[in-house]
Amino acid sequence: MKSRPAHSIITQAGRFLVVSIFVISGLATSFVHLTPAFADAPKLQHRILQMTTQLEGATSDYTFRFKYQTGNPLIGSLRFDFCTTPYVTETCDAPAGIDTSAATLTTQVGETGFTILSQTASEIIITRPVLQADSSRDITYTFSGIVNPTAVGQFAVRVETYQSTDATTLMNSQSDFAGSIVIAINVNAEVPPFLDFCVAEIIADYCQTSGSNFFDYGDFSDTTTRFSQTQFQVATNARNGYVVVLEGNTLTSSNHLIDALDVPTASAEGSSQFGINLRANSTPAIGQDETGVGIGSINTDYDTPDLFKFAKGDVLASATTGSNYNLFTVSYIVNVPPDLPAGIYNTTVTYVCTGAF
Amino acid sequence: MQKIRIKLNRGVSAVIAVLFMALLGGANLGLFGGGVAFADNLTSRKVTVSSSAKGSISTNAAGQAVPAGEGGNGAKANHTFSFTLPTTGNVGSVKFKYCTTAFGACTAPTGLDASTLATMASSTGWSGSFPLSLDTSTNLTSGDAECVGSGNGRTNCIAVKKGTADSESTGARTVGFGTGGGTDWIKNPTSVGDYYVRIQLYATTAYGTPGDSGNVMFAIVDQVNITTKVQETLNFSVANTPVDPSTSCVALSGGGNIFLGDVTNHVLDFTQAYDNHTYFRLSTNSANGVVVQYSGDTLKSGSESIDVAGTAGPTPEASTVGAEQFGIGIDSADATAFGYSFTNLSASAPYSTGNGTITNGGTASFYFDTASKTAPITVASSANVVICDTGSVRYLANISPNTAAGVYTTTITYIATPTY
Repeated sequence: MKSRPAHSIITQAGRFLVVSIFVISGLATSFVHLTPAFADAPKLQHRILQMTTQLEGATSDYTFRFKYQTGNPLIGSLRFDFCTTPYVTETCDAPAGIDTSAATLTTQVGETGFTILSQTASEIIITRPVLQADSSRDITYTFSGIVNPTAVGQFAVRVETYQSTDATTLMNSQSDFAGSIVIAINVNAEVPPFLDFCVAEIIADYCQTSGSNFFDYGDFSDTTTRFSQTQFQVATNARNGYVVVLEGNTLTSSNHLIDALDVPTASAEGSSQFGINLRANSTPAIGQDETGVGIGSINTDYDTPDLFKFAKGDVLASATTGSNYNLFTVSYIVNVPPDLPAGIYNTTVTYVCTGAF
Repeated sequence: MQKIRIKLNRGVSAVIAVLFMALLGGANLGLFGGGVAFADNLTSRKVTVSSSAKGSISTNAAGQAVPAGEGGNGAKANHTFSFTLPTTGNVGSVKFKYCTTAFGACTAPTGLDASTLATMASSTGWSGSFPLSLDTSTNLTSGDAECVGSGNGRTNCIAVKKGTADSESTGARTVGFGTGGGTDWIKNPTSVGDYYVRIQLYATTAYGTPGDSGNVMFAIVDQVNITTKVQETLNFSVANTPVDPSTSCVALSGGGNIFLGDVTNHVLDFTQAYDNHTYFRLSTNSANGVVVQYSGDTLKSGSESIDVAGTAGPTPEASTVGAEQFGIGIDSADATAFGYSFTNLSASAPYSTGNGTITNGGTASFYFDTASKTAPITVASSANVVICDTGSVRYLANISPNTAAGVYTTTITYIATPTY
């Protein structure tokens, strides 16, 4: 204290006494507000509050894990008060939206045998015949069906233990469990309907097309099979899969035609034949088998090596669900008889892929 | 050691001295009449007490023991007397008598007990050839009925003496008691009030021929017990955008929606990987640590779902473009302002490698476990308190060409569980 001149009619000692009385009186008044009702009450040890969800207004399990306070206390009841603040000295204001009225005590580990004595929207009291709790034992009590507060932020659960079985007298510990309410994270994405289909002479992964779409067989010969190949690739996320349908006609010239093979047939030189299949063939050596990780499959009529068919409207390949990429190779063969009328024979073959979303 | 010093200022001392002499002068004339070389008031007198607590107090408000000699321990206090000798003369002994009043008959303060002193703890300024020492053997009650106590009258009196009386010059002196171990302390009076110590110097070692004297005063007061409480705190927030935590660890606010896909339409394409971030911010004083967990499902559209990232182990997985993947990872390289700041928290495997590239086979890796729906899984934790950490959670989405069309959504909830 800084010394003062002794000219005052109140001596320094006198001032000290007066000030002391004033200060102590003032502090005593404040003390009433500062001192908890049970300021130094023992606390539950290693307190953990686990919530299955901290979302605002959600229904959650509340699992209280702890060890009882030291000294192996006598326990007859516990009070769980849900409050906006943890201070035991303050009035417990229930967090908006909290609802414990329908909670059930679903798990007890450690000291067991408790039942719910009473419950309100923000308070639960559990009871059992008085036991001497083991302070070293891990305790778990889970309440299910508690509706979370509806406001984002912190709240508290004040837990008091009592020797009495109705949580009215002989309180022997006061503790706080902190909880927090947060918003949910919603992750959104869209996968659009997808059907990737391409046709070309040569196709690399993911429909990278190249080559020609026009094939000139030159002059036909009744002793030589003419052949060529194209490819188509397909992938889709259509839930019900896809079909690839053959459209077009056989080779024609005016009112003359080369016969389309209406059933799977081997290539025969000197015959009138126009057909396709989707396999690797040896007679003639043309084509390749299906590739890719998709689940697409070949129609059986076009799925036998060296047997060819051409029927407008036939399904060539299909998948029953969404499929990753498959690459199909279409082999074309043409045989002509000796008496085939002269002319320029041509056709346009179209492949139609339809996804079933 | 913090000491509470209470003294009378000179104004009071002077008044008290005059009154003292006026009241005692007549009775003591005979004593002073034997050619005493000095009989003035000690000046600049004070007693410094280590504690103004009542002698019944040795613990704090929490019930914890307060060490002897500290302010909160009135049961074991030390008292140090300081004064100035106004005149030169022989000094053989000194008596310190504790009374409830400064003048008149001395009543020993209730509860005061100086009888357990074993040593004179300190002395300074004494110029004679023979040092002072604590005298516990001389029976003071025989010559001074106001010194009480079943022993030699030491309950309210302290005596020191020299081996041989010799001259002391004028000047400042101190004598201290009660800084030893065991019971070598003074027990303060047990009632609140003002108390006086009457200091009397004697020219002989037998407490004869009174010399200079003076009173000092101290007060016993109620202790001020201040109780406060630090609440358990758990400030946990999540959002899709970080904000400056500032000095108060501002909570994240705003929406919780994020989109994966192209910027315009949020559409996924199987030829490209997509990512996005959300954030959580945590501050807690939980001394025994805290865990941050997630709970949720993979992206779903009706009955369709996108495969989760990662393999058994659990082992996180790099982005694989063209294959279904939905995963999360803590992105310690998130460059978004205020987006990542772990000081106390640590990311937990397999969610700790979300930083890096997400091109096909990129350096970042991700994991997701749909079992978290029923058993939340830890993505970050701390063994101690967390001052203010912000976590950046990175989400990865890849689809394959046959991933069914649809709007895919999921809700991820984050849970912070502290241990107090």
